[in-house]
Amino acid sequence: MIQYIKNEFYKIRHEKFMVYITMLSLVPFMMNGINFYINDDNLSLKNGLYFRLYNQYLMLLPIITSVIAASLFYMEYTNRTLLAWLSYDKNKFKLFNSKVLAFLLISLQLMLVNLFIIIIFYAFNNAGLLTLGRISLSFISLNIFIIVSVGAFTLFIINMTKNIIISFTAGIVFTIISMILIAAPFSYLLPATLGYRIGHLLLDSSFYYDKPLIHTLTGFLITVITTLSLYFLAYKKFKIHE
Amino acid sequence: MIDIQKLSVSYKKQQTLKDLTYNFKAGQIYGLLGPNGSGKTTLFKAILNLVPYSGSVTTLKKSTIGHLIEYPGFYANLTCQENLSLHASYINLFDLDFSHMFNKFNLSEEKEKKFKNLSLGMKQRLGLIRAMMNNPDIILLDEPTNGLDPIGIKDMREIITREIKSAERTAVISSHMLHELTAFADTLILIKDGVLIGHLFNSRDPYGLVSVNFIEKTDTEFKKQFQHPVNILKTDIDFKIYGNYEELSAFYSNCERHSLESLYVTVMNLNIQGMKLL
Repeated sequence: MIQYIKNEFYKIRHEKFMVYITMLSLVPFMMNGINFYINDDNLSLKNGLYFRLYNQYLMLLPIITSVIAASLFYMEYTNRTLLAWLSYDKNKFKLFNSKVLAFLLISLQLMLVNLFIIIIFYAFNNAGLLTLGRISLSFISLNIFIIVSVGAFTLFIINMTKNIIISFTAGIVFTIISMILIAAPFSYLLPATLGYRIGHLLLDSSFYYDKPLIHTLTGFLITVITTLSLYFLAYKKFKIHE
Repeated sequence: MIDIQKLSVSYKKQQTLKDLTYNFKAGQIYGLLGPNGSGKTTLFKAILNLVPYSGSVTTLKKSTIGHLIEYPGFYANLTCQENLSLHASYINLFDLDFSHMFNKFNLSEEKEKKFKNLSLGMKQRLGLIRAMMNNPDIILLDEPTNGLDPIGIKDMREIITREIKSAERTAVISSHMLHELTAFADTLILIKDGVLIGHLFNSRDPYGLVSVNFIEKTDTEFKKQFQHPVNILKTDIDFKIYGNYEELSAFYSNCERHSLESLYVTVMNLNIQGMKLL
């Protein structure tokens, strides 16, 4: 399995989408970093630099996630390598999972790079350990929920349609829906907005659901069920057609 | 080497292979002949366990399979060398020196080129290197000359003859062109609409026998249709056409005069007619 995952990284070594995606993930920090020095030096977690960053990542992360997940599978379809690749192991699930794990590793890598830059920036501007901890937990919460839920959704879309444009569009639609419903009292029903609200709770404890425990647990359950369902449906659609 | 029993494959309620039974022996080269959509590629996919099927496909334990099916699929942005290294790692071959293989398949100058910059002929040859890399016991080639220009076809024929025909392995090469396969194959297997409808033994002895099975038509009608002095024997269940290469070739030419424009189409037509007779 480790060799299979290594091979996934080998396949994308010359792929430009990885460079673009890495640069795109850094755009929010670059924009807000510039804004910090020329316009607004408010570092408050509630309404300062990190709060703006946090909201912008909610917009960008579903797109970035869908591009990574879709591209890893699409390369097998567009290069017509699927047949040769699937013949390497009788255990198709193992090959499928090697790609899924590669996607998770790339996404987590991007998350850690961005988090590291934010932490360094805040530490450089005299933030305390508590602040750094709250930033880390909220950022990780937002990322994990979006990576897992949007990732599973994209895996299903790309393996069902074999179409990269539809998969990217699905990522954008996901973003728009998340942004519209971000403040809705029922937003716990959507994994991405639940992740946002959990992360946001660490920035501003006055803004959360009416019934915190029930709504959070319900949201968790829905997230787990939908993610696992989409993951298995994606695997079912992942096959060679006659 | 490959024992196939009652193999059936269905896709969207349509059977693409129907109760196919055949035993591919070791050391033989088989030509799989049939029109487009007859089930040749599906048979390869079933042997590789890439499509769900009923029946059984049995190969010898630990036998290795190399294949080039449908299209030489490689990663467009990796070089030839990188693509082969990647393939090698999947089959647990590490630190291989591919130089001699690039030389053998006339690709030495292209090894650092990205796959997307190769011609189709070069891509096919790279696909053959991949199929042959671990010196497999079984090799499956699906229309390896498809889409190539005449020079590419000639190159590919030479490589296949040199690298596969000489080796002691089971090879199955598909084509819808009979003359392509007679150059390589010991046995021709005829397939149409997913049904194995007969086989033709190619002894390579100029005086050896070649037989094609046709069923349910009177010998008189058949002779009238083709008007050729090959030996046609009617048995209880079929016709057998006997002849050496020259006779069979003349037979095909005669078929051409009786029906379509090119030898290729005529030969296919002959086969299709033969199949229809079934």
